[in-house]
Amino acid sequence: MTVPVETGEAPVTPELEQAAIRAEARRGMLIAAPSAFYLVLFFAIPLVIVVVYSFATRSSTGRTVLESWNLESYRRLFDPLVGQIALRSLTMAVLTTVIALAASYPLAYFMATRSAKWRGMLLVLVMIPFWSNFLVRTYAWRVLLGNDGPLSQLSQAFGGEPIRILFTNPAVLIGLVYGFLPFMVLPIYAALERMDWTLVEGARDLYASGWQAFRRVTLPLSMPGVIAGSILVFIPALGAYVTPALLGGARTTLLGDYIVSQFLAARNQPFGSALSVAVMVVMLVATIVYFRRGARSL
Amino acid sequence: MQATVAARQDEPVGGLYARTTPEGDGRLVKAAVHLSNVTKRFDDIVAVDDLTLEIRDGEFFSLLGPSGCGKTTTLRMIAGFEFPTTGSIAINGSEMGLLPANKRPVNTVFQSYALFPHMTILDNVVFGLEMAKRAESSGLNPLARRVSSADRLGIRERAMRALDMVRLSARADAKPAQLSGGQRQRVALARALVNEPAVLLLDEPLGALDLKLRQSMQIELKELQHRVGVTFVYVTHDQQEALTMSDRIGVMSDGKLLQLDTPEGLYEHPRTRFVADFIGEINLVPATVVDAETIEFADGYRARKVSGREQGAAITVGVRPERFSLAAPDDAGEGRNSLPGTVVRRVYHGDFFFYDVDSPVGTLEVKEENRPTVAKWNEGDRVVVHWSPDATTVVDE
Repeated sequence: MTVPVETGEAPVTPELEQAAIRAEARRGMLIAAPSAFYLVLFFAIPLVIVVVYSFATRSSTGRTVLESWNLESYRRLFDPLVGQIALRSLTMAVLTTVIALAASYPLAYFMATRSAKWRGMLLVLVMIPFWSNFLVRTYAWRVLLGNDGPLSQLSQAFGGEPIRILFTNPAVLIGLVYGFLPFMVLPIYAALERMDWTLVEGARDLYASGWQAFRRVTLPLSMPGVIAGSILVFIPALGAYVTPALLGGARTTLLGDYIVSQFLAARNQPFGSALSVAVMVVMLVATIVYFRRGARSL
Repeated sequence: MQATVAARQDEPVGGLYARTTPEGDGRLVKAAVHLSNVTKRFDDIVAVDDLTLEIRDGEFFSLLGPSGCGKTTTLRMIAGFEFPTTGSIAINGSEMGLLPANKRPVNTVFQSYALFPHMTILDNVVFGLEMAKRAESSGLNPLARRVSSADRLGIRERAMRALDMVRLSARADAKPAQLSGGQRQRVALARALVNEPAVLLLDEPLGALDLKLRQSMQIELKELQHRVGVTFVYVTHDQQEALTMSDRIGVMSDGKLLQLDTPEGLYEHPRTRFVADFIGEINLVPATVVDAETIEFADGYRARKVSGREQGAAITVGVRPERFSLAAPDDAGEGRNSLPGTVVRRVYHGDFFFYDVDSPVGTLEVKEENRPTVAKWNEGDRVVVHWSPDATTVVDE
């Protein structure tokens, strides 16, 4: 039963209340409209096009024919060559993630344990690379790692062999780790910075050594940051295009390269689309599983 | 008077101290914690200033003071989270030096409880026992730091008993976030006490609880301390809390220990203006010593008080509001001191009245119980304020 309020207003009926909720929802939608429009235009529509194309046919001249829908492109995914490339990409992405994690955690830990003044400064330092173009920075690595580059010269100055690393997988790995490092550092830093450090004192107070306190308290509590960072690095590393194209050799094709070549060189848009869809689905499933497991361990 | 007797018992007898706990059995006991000339500096700030302190075995000791007085820093130095700049700390007779927290025979109940949010209540309580077992079984080889399954069972059992003690064994599998503030507080206690520390350090553990819960936890804490017999070092800024629970209290201000006494000693005989003001309410009035038994206020009003100070010395005397009583102007108040005055304000508090009385020495605050036998006064009434010479205390500036 609704009780009339003593201000002389009409009693609030369920109908009125629901109308108010609907009005509220309408207003919300209006506010969200610009971002919804943006997402539809630049995210949903291209995605739909890719999915649609993946079922289309390639004409003999390399044009995409939007009829006689079929699964031919998906069947080609089981080609041994695709498997080989996917495996190579996966290895690369896993290695990139592991190395980036190993390099980032100590750095993030160091940053999070400084005073507030230093923390801000270090944070800016980590983000400075974002101020210049990724392509330019990757080209810089070409110079650094080149046969006549500083690295090679340094090696020779000490009487060593010239370093021939450019256009090999290690060079790609260096480039990937370098490029994605901030994406690993920042979430781990955020998790550590948010952590209540009294908990570490609590562990020390309960006879844990420094290492044990880290193992049992700090590390588990920073896991959300580790998980977020790993996903942020793994996914773009798996689909990386620019870095392998600039630093990698001709014989070390990765997924990103391969997809691009389907659209440009091979002019096989349906197959390129099918590859993209497959990578997307695999990553989506992997991410969901990873997050679920991560959430449970907390 | 009793305070001076107790003070004499403080004299060390070959490193042992007469026990003045409620049992008062006069046994000689070791100091649980001994701080000697401890100073702690943070850059330019002196947090603790030349602190020397004995905490006796088995007592409930409180460090009381306003925030920033150095009490928490003192506690953290005992725990091993901070180290003295100069001076030394001994626990159970052994020097702590730079020994880290995990190697000291003390445990802490933190203000925020510091329960591990990712572990169950039981795992929280097990933590200390497991770590201690690992440290003990390891020797120098970290790979040998294993806990056998038999040990694990024993540890679990002890942890469950500790949870029983705080009536929380039913919530053993819950996570800290699922517990109420009072329950978390009790888990923190169980987690610390299960290790059977020589000294339990408590850093304002009731600060986050609401008043009612705080009061019931005060009683529970005191009972628990009595039952387990562990030395408690309790840091608080709440004078009421310190008075109700402690065997002895050290009052700190600006890094210095101002007075160390029993709750009664502190309340009845505060030695400094700061202590008098910080603990309870007090009327402070300037006076001059006339002779061995007499002091004189402004305007020539005299009162009886054995001050122990030399003739002509300017002193400050303090009287607690409840030690005053009001009477009609013609009441001589046999054997008691008196000052004339006028009631300028009356505040009703239910169980008592607060009167502000204008007197020749200033406005005096008087607290009278609300009982049929106690006369009530109205604003504007001419009265006389009585108090006994014993209730007068001489306070240093």
